[in-house]
Amino acid sequence: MQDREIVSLYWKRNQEAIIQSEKKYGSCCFAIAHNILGCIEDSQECVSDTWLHAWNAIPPKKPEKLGIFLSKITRNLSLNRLRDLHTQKRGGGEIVLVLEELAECIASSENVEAQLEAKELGEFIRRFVRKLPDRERNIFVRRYFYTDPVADIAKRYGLTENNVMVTLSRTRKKLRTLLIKEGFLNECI
Amino acid sequence: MNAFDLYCAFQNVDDDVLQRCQKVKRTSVAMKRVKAAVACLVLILGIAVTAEATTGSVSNLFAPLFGMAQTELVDDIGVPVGVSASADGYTITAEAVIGDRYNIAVVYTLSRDDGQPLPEGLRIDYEKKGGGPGGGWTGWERNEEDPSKIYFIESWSLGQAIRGRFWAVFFSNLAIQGEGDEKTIIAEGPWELKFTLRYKDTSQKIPVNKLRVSDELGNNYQINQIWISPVGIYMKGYQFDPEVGGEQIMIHFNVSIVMKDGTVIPLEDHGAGGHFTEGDKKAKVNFRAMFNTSLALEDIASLLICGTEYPVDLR
Repeated sequence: MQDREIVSLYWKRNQEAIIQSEKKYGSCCFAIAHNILGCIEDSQECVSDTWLHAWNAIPPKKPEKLGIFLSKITRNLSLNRLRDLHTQKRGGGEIVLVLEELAECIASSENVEAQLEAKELGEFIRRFVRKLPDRERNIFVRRYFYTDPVADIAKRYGLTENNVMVTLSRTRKKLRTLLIKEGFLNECI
Repeated sequence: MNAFDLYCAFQNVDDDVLQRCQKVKRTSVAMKRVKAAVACLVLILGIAVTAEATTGSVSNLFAPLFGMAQTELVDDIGVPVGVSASADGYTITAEAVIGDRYNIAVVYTLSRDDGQPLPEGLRIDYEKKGGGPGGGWTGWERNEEDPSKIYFIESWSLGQAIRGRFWAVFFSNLAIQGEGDEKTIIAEGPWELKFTLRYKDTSQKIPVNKLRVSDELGNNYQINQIWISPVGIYMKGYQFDPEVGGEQIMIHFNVSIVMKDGTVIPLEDHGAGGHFTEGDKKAKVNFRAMFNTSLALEDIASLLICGTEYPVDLR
């Protein structure tokens, strides 16, 4: 079923919308949740909550790209669950490795402000990712939004795992440089 | 700021960026036999592409879908159309068509007559006339090099042979989409385009003798006919014991392509349906799909139809 047909079902308050959403995007949403939480039960709960959040959001929303809309809800719910569970460092799936990688971007630096506005950082990341070359951007987003394992990214794009890791490393360095340049971080000498 | 904050910030990545990274590369399948393979048909929406501003060849017209790879093959199969309609300062041109016996894709260009850039968030009312029943989708792709133009793509899979048919599309109410149902109409139109579908049909019939398969819920099917081309597939047959008021027919029918190198390509974007009358023991059904990557037919090993593997022999 096409996305616009499923969205139309939401607007008509037809519960078939949830059945179709689950059929089309259930596995994708589960993969996102599981990559973050590393626990099947928690991931399944987040996916179930995704349909409820979508039901409450549509209408008035009318997403053109339903899959992306649902993916963002699942990711957000999973992040909230992760905060609640405090499992960042305790075997929480691929997220452990992802956070260690991102920690490189802020290593050996001090914050300009003790508490950075999440909104400003979000806008910075949005602009940074958009300006990346196509291949680099796709790999970076698959790793740090979808939290895909490196092997999966390599398979998706027909690359070696080493290619992917080198690309990620170079892009993280670019990210760090820009974080410092735009004043989010001060480089410690 | 800590690493978790940075990770959470990725929630703000734009939707079209997230959409673009959904593609899966299958060049190990498509690039092996360049001479025999057809160029890829990109069915993922929202991808910004660049196109050489060279007039004449079909491959340039299909650049929004194929890029500039395998131009010789695209020129061989696709056909330029060149039919336009203008109204309210905008022109829509049917640029080119490609397809097979039951599936087609047409690329249109929407442009401003004054050459100014087109705004973001466009939507248009679209209606296909004729061609018969079937299913399909439409979408936009931007032209990075020329912001005064945008590509509109339609793709259809119909229940009867398409090539040679008269095709008419009717566009109206070009608008900018706002929040929810809000939209601002910038040009009413209408724009009506009519042309005959002429392209090289490379479909081949796979011999099949009343193949019986069952889906995961025990619904039984008989496949009587399979047509396949480098860009699509079509099957027709029966679903047994359909129920009036029961589950929709063909809902659990699924097909994957199995390549000789072991790659399995599920056909997730597809159309399927049929009809029956109350009391009938079987419904006439069909399954149709355009591929989201080109497939060299000689590289296909088999079809996986509801879990049953059926070898493909195209001698």
